[in-house]
Amino acid sequence: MDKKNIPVIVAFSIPLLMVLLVIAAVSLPRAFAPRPQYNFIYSIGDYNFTNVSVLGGRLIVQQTGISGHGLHAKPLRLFFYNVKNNSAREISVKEASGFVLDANLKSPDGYEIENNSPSYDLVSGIFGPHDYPAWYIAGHGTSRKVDLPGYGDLWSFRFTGWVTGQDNG
Amino acid sequence: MDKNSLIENLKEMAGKGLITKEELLGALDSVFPPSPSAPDEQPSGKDLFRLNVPVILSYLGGIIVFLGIAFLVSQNWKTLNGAAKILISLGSGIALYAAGILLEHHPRFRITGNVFLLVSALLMALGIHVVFKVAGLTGQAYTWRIVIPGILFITYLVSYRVLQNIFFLILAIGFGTWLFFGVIATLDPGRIIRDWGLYATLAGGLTHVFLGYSFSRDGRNILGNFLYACGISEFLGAALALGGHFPRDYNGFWEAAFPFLSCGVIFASVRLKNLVFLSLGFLFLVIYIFKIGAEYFSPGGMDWPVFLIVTGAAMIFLGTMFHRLRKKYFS
Repeated sequence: MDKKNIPVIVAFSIPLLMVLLVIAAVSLPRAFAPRPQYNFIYSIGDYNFTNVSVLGGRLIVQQTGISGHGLHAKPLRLFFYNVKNNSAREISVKEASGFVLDANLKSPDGYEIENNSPSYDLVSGIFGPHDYPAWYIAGHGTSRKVDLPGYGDLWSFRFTGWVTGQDNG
Repeated sequence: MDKNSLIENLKEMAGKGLITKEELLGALDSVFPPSPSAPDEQPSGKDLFRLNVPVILSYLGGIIVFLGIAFLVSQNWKTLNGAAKILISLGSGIALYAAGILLEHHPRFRITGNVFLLVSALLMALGIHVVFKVAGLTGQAYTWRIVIPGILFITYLVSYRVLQNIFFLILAIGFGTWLFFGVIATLDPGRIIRDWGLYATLAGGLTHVFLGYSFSRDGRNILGNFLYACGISEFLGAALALGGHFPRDYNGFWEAAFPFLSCGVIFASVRLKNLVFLSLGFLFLVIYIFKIGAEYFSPGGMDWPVFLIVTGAAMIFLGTMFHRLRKKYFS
């Protein structure tokens, strides 16, 4: 090998090496980490007049005032997210009340719902994803984007609880 | 000593790095002065980096032409048909590419040719995007992250290989850098690797420095110094940013390592005998001192005057060291 070409070979090797390292960092944990097992419920909409909480493993929705007033008021909506299909469907309060919920931010199998916050350096600011708000299910060194409907409403996204069971009674 | 032994000795010394190509050519030039060349016949590399007011205005004019065409297409998107959109954007780009190649061969129109090539590069990037949009293949981030820079990187690399025009090499490096950042961004490492953009900039900076070294060794010092300046700025700038800002986003490793990196750049300047390394190494050290002051000292506090005195003394020291190193190793 001509020694004259060594700097050029090194110059091209550095970005190639970085790409390979990033591929390894992103895909290797995903290959070994357990897939998320727990579905979750989240809500979007107007929280000024509605209080959503989990008490004793059950969803509690309390109306604290008259909603629907004001320019930006939107009604509260509940969604059930299926982690296996990566899909969400809207559910009623009655249906949501039938689930046993775990309100801890971390699921029993070690996953959390995180949002995509903007980066502050030039490169990730230009080239990085610009889908704010976007939500991810993250844990065990991995991160997967969750496909949530209602892009414009996702600023009011609020995690309610992990579905740990269903009330058959 | 006979001629052949002398030539063999020179080859051996050059191979060991005891004598550089420039020193050898400089010595020969002093004995065999170069034949006077016509004022127009200047190396294209010097033309490219000679930035006087008319040249800057030409390049600015080219960028404005590009913006005009971009606005023309975007404002008339609904009224123009697909072929017209592609013709205006990509077609203009290809036409200016051909015109630029032809003009670049004429010494009087070399700068104009380079301007045409710059505008054609911008228009071809826009044109490829328009093609994808007309074909209904929009909404995919990998189009502008990978496809556009990838096509143009290969185009300009092949163009350089065939036509040996240094402007094509610069465009290839530019689009290659865009491609690199685009590929990393497409892998979406932001959720796993914090500050991935800064690490990518670090790697990009190192790449540019090594490319600059390769060109400098071939005697293309202007291109080499340009790549050195870009590469060192990227490398040291990213390393500085990785240190974060105490107490939030703070990274002690990079904060502590940065002065050593700057000193490494200064040391490299002595080995490579390159003023770009020396100047940027010292400049970033000064910026680092101000950064430390802004992080750890509060204006109006008791420690602020102490910081100012120490900073001023450090800058005097650095200035003296710069002058001494420059005098010792670069004159």
